[in-house]
Amino acid sequence: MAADRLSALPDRLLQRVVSHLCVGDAARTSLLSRRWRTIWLQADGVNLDSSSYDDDGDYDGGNAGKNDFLEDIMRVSPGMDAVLAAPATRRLEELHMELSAEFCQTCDEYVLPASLLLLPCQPSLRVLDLDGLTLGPPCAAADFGRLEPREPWRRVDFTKARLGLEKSMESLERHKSEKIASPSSGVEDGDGRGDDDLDALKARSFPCLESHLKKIRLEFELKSFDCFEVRLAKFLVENALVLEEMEVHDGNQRVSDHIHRKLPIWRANSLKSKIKIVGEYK
Amino acid sequence: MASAGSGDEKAAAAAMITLISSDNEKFEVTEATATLSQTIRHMIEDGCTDGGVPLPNVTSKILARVIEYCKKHATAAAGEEGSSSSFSDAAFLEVDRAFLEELEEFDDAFLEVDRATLFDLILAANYLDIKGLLNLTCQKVADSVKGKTPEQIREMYNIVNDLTPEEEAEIRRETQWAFE
Repeated sequence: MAADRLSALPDRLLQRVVSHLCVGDAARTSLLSRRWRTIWLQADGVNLDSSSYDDDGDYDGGNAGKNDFLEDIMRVSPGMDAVLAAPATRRLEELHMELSAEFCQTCDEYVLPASLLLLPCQPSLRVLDLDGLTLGPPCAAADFGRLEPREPWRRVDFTKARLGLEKSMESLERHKSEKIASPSSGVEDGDGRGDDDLDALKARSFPCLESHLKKIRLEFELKSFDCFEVRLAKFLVENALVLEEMEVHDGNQRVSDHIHRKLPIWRANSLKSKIKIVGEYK
Repeated sequence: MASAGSGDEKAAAAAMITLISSDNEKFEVTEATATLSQTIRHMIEDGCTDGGVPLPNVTSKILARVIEYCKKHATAAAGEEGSSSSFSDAAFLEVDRAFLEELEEFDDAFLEVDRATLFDLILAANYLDIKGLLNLTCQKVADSVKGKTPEQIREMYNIVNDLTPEEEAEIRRETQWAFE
């Protein structure tokens, strides 16, 4: 039997077949023939199932099912990158991702594709909620900077975006410490001196800060009154020109008034003085 | 509703539908069985099933298999509804689970067909709009190409590669991550 009955099926049915495949297998069908080239691009489903889902022998123990699953689809080929690259996600509006790093060391190093610009969901994505993972190498801010200038992202309503910045910040910090010879002097007094650590940030231009970023939520453990996150909060208050709301959780009730006392001062000194500070302590 | 007839034996016995295959064979089925097909369900709703439902796209061989599937799954649907009222009863749940396992076994055995039949079943399921059967059969095809290289899939399904080497290189570039 030499007839190619599979390719003879109507597009809709081939798409249905492809939507049953994991995203890597689906993409590989584009190489079968001209007929198949765009079939997977039109499939309206993404199969998140990963063949190695059952294999949880790698972990030390105590795995919650959901995290297990996420770890698997992140780490094991084709991984989350590929899932997000699947054309079926092209009308995705909200993306919430939470990764817990307790069970698996590689998982908190998971980085969303730097090429977010190329993702099919880019024009439709309104809400990006990341917790425990990093947005694009080498650092989150840089990628946001790159996201913005492209036309489709102008439509993105980032007002609801809440980024799990702590992980991003860590990688940002790592990234900078590689590049900056002399670390911060540790002085934090509001006039911009002593912010050597942030020079790398200040030296760059982030279009998202100039036109987009309206709401931000920072969550971190306050390690010192001058830790990187505190300085980053200050940096954002001073540089995010359209910021409307800032929510800061520093993870420690006893010193929580520290940063909330400072925020209004920074705000008063910044170009944009209408920022609403959520959870302000009096 | 699909099970309106099946709940009442007299009504079920009365509500029979005649399906006519492309080679003019007639199949008597209950309405509960027939309405697993959305296409037939709409015809029944429109009241145009008197004198039988001609199915010019489906041969008797395939229609017999499709009806076999629908009969089994219509029973399953009726069973589910019947037991939902005694949801808390562990014995009923046990029966349910046994029945679901049986259904799965039925599906597996049902799919033990040659490739030509599988494609005919897909086309029939599509034409008759039987979602469960369409999913089942498409899944079967998907399973057969899972983890295979394009070359292996082409060989399996007699797919002729009409891509130029340039096009092939381009596709590989576009979906590089899928080939790593």
